[in-house]
Amino acid sequence: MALNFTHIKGDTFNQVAFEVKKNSTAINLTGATIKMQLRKCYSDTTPALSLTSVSSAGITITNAAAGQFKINAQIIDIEVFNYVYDIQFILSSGEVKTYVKGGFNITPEVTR
Amino acid sequence: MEDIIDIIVTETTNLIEITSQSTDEVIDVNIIDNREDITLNVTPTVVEININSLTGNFGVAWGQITGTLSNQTDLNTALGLKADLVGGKVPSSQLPSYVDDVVEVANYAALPATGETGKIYITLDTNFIYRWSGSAYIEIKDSSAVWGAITGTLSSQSDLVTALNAKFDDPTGDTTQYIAGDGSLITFPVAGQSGTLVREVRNTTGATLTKGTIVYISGATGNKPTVSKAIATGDSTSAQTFGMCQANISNNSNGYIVCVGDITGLDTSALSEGVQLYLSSTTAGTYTTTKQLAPAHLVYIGVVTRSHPNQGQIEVKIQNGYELDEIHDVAISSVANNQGIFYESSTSLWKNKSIATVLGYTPEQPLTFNTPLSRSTNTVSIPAATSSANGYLTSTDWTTFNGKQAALSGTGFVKISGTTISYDNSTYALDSSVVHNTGAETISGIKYFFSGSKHDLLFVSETVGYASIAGYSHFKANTNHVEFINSTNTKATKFIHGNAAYEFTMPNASGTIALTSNLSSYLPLSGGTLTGALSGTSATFSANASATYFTATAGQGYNGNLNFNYNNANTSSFGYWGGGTNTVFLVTSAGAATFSSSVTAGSNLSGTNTIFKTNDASGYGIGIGYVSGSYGYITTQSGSSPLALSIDGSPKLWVASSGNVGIGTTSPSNKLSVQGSSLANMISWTDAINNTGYLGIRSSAASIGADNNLVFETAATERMRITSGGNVLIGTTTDVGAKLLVSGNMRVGTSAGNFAELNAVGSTPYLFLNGPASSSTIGASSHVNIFDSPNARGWVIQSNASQNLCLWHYSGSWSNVGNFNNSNGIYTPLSDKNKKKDFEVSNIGLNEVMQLKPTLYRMKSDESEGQKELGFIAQDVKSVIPNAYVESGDFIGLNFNPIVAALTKAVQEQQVQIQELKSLLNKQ
Repeated sequence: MALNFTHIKGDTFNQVAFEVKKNSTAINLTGATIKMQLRKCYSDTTPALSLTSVSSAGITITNAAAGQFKINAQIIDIEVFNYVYDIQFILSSGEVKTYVKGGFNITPEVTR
Repeated sequence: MEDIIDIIVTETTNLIEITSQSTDEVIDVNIIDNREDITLNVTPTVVEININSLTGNFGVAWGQITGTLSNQTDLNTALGLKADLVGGKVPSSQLPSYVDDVVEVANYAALPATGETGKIYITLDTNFIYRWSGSAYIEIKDSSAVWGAITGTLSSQSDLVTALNAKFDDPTGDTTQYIAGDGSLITFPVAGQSGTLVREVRNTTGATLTKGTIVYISGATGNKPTVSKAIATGDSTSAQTFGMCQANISNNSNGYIVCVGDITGLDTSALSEGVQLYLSSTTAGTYTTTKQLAPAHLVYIGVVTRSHPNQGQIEVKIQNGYELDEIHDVAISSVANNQGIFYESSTSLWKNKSIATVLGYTPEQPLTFNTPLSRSTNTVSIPAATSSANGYLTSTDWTTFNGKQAALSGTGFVKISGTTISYDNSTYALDSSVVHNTGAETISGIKYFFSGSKHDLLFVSETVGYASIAGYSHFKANTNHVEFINSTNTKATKFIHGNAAYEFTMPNASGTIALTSNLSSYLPLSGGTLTGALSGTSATFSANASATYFTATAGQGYNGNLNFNYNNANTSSFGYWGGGTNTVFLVTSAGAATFSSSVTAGSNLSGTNTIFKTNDASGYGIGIGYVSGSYGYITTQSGSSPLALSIDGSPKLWVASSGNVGIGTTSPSNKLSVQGSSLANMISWTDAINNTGYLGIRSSAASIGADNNLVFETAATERMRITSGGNVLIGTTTDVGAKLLVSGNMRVGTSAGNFAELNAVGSTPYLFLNGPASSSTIGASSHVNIFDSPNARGWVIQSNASQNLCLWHYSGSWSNVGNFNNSNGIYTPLSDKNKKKDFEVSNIGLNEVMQLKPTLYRMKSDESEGQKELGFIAQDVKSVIPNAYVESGDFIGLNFNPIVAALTKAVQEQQVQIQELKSLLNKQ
């Protein structure tokens, strides 16, 4: 499934909170690392934006046992482009899963 | 089976579009509090997306719809399976019939004429339950009777008997017993042995009568007595004492009073078993163990039969005491004071009567026996008279007295001479009518007296005789006075001496006595003592218009002074008390007062408050006071200190010729020199409540002056000393060599919010600077100033208004050169363009950075083998970035600002290279 975002360049990206369940049971995010990167294309070697739950650098695990995390509110001021992104879960077991992905469209700002 | 992954967006206000792709797993999306900006694209349509919860502006309640909604038909089908609510409720038509099976009606008549099979009908007036049989209502009854534990079928009376027999075994007792509630057999009490007699009463007192309260019948309501708390202060509240409350009786409620018998469950722990209880005369409703006496009423309540805190028992038996007039054979009426009860045989009654009535007369007051009469019990005694005490005459006295009776006969005076009593019948009285003017009358013991004329009294020399003189003087009695009449029969004006030169006149009308020439200058006194006092508002000696004086010789002395002369012979040597302005002075003929003879303390001291001259061992001077052997001198003496103050003959204070004052030393070398021993060598000050402070020299309480310390003491405890070496010790006597040593706290400043304190007490000494609440100015708040005055340079460490730790440096003026942040401790050095000059672009960048050698190391002073530190070696950096190298004396360090600048420059250079590479890549 794709969850697509649209954001105006330079605006504050509002907080988005998630709860992840597997077969109706919360996935335990204790010890997990969540990473989210925006790239212009899948083969782009340099992500336009990298967010990670490590040190709450853009992503914060709010309730690990309940599988809850959020993309922090932050100003996103990167080049206007319709990026692709996904959110990768590196669970404590070492299992790597990508449950959320989609497009992240940065639209131009009019007022600067 | 694939796992079902739920991605639940629990919060967002972002623009979100949800799409699905054929390759997706089955994913449930729960969107909560979302906006209507969500776009749901399902591509392709066959992919299953379950939207489980969608609320907010987008929200549509999907309830418990399950299954797959692939098109509108599915939705309609699903909706068709749901009930249509009417007014929020499901119409009964949409309900299954069994939901509405129970029909309640008011009574049987209200039942529907035709019922419905399968429904239950209840008639509310009887709570009977019916069913519709198809043609009539049939009451639904419980087919089994409620027989409790009885089981089986009661088809006949025998069955019932059997059942009842099963409830309780036939009693095995006899007619003297009954079955108690617990099934046990209890013997009926024998008549007259009832343990307790109680009576139901009503409480209308307005308050609850608690269990054990003693009450009396105060009235009645209905057929029940009403009761109130009894108290033994009067007949009305005690004579009708009824009993004790068996249990609490609320107001306006009925309850029981134990009139006779036991009452249990009381707190009698303070009472001993067998103790008698009486109605209290102090607290209504209570009892006391003290037998009540008049005027209190005696009401016996009962006896304690069990002493226990909560199971106490009292055997109640009310016995009211009686008034005297309530006794059958006592008739009391019109009672008066001092009456008694006496038996009257005529009526066989005891009646109140006065003593006088009973006796038939009024008894006299008890006799008083004056001395020499006395009474002992019923005996009155009179002692025999003695020479010094009255008494009765004994028969011997009577005989003696009777023997002298003859001597007392006759008229005249009774004469007692020794032990002889006699009668003197001589005539001694003078008759005022007798005029003795013709000759002499002689009365034994009174030589002569004449009356020259009637009422005059003449005195004539016994040797001269009245008839032999031509003239005579006499006292003449006049109205209210006696006149002195001379020989010429005129009033005498002079008292004449044998020598006329010495006569003086009678006082004239102004009281003046005129003296003759020989008596005119002075009043001669010879022998005896002139005593008395000059009285009046003033006494003035005024013998001359220009001089007032006492003098031994006329014409000597100084006018206006009190003059003294010696023996009226040395006219050139005299003294006088003179008067000046507010001054009285003694002057001798030589011009100054001197004492002509020595006065020694031993021979001349007497009295108190005396000023005297002394020349005893203390020297020559003036002695002051003499009280019980204590005296003081101010003396002059030989030696270096000629003036001394002595107490009891011992010099205590000297004044040297130099003017220095010595206490304890005769040779004061300073303006004030004090010598002594122990505390005596110290100067002390003591206030009105005996708080004493000392200043003196001593090394300890027992050792004097050994180390020449100057000690300050209060309350006999040393507080501070200046040692012989000049060190000041406060709160300690241990000299560690410091010029100022304080044991305790040191504080500068008295304001609670502005002071500096150095505290070395305990294990955590500190220096505390407490300045104004807020200030951003150097020196105006708490700060530590390290200043080199000779070179006019210094540092200040200050906590400023933002609570940062500021570093200030002085070099001509103060400058804030860096701050430590109060929250994270980060140091921010000075970097103000206004404080900088000579700007120049630095080229120290990537090249120099590449030469830096980050190094792991340990400090030589660090003896542990822990984690190494990462950094640079100053000497390595010195050759690459000299600006970062700092050397000052033995100190070698690194300033990282130049290194940061170099790193910045290096990054900038690298970024240029990156941009160039990216441009090249884009062109490819």
